[in-house]
Amino acid sequence: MASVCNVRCAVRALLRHARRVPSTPSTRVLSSAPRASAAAAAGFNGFTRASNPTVGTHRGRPPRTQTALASTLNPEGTIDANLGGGSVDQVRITRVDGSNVGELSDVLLSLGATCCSVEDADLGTERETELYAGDDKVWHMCDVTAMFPSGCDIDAVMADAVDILGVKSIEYVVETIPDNDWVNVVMDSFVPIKVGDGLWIVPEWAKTLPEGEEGALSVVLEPGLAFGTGEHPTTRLCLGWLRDNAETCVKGKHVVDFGTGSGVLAIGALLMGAAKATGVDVDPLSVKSARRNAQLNGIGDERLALFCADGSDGSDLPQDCDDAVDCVVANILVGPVTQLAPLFARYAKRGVGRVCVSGVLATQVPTVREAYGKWFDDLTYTEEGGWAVVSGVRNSTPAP
Amino acid sequence: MSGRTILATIRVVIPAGAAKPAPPVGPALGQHGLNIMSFCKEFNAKTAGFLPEVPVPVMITAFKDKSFEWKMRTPPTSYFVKKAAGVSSGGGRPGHGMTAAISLKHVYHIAKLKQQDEGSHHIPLISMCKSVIGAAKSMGIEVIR
Repeated sequence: MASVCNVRCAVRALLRHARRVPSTPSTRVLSSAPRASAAAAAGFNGFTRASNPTVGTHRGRPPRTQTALASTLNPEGTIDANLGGGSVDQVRITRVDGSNVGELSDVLLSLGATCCSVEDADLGTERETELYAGDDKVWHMCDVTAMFPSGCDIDAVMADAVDILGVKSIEYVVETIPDNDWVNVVMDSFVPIKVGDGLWIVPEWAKTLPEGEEGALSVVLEPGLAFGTGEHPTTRLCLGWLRDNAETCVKGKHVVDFGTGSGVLAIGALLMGAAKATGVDVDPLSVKSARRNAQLNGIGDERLALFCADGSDGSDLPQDCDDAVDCVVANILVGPVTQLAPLFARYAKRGVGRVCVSGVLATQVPTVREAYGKWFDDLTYTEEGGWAVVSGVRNSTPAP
Repeated sequence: MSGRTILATIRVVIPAGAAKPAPPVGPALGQHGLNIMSFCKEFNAKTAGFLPEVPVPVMITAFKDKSFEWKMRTPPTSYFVKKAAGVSSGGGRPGHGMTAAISLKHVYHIAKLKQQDEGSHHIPLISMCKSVIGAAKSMGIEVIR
């Protein structure tokens, strides 16, 4: 191990001081003679033009410009505002022998790759091999794609890789994936979603529901990065619970949605007849998104109050909720949900207020019950796909 | 059955409880058409009990029909070694200045943790220890009694 380290340091020092020979736009080859499996220079798949990085149908969609997207949605561009990540540099190494793939991925990941993906090099051709889940095999020839944070010195990393693996060279291609390529992918996954009988969630631009569903309750959401798109079992569980209990704790009542995300639960409750809803989220972008979604559903500020807080600082929280809320709903994760139990106990009307929490796995239900048991009775839960929604009724034990 | 042929296997390292649609998760999953949001939520739920920001290696199998499965592994050995040595990055250059070090006791505990990985149950502890020691040395961190 020590010898590799020394050689690695030496190679690195050498490369840093060597004069860079300007390389051809995209293909770079390190060191001397090619190694049979890794380089296979003769058999390269023609991935040489930097101007067209996403050749091939299986590589995903071509990059689209940001401006077009922003103008069809929120002019403030809520979508891209959250993308602190920036672009990534993607290194593609094609036609790697299947037996070497594991080692290559290990090395790249240990050298700072944030992600390493392996595909069939013959995908889309007649030599394609079909592998199924549980197969412990790899494809005969693989394409390896590694992503690095932008600004990373790819050449140095690849030089280290060549050295650690003990090969003569590795041929690779670098492309920069712009920030919003994958945002578009998320966008495109939004279609109207059936959450329950007569209950739908639709993305802003897809307002028409399938035949026969015109009378259904539909919550219109602006597709964005906040959670609560309706696809997740927990959103379905919570909305379903709200609808099943609409008579007792939604219609004409005050509902608090903690961890509101896109606002889907608060808005759903208002559409089901709640008199007033309050949404709280720790993420200011979620609060923004929830406000926008409320507008899309014709709900104004007087019906939906929104706060940006995490529940620890009382001054950020709504001031009119103590012992005044008919229904507290929270779809977050087990940690926050258990920590917020005392706060919800304060909010829920003693004796009648209901609580409904989710974002917890079915296995985490006992933890939730323990946290809420002091102030809430009749704690029951429903399960779907491994997720659970736990609900209970506020008893008369004084709140902390 | 034909819909469930594997499209790609993706390895990513994500800080526990912090999966977001931003890189590295976003591009990694987005490029194969996978549902980024549902993965993030599921990952964060499953790592809710971890110390925040612990790096979790994840192996995602993406199928051609855009569905996917994923598995978590124990954090990389290098993370544990760095933590045990109390350094935020790999140890200093050999021969220069203070060298960071870990004890055999650290090695033992780290090896036991790493043995929990799916593929490693059958590997004898002594071999796991050797591999931890090897990792430490390659990071320039000494192993002392």
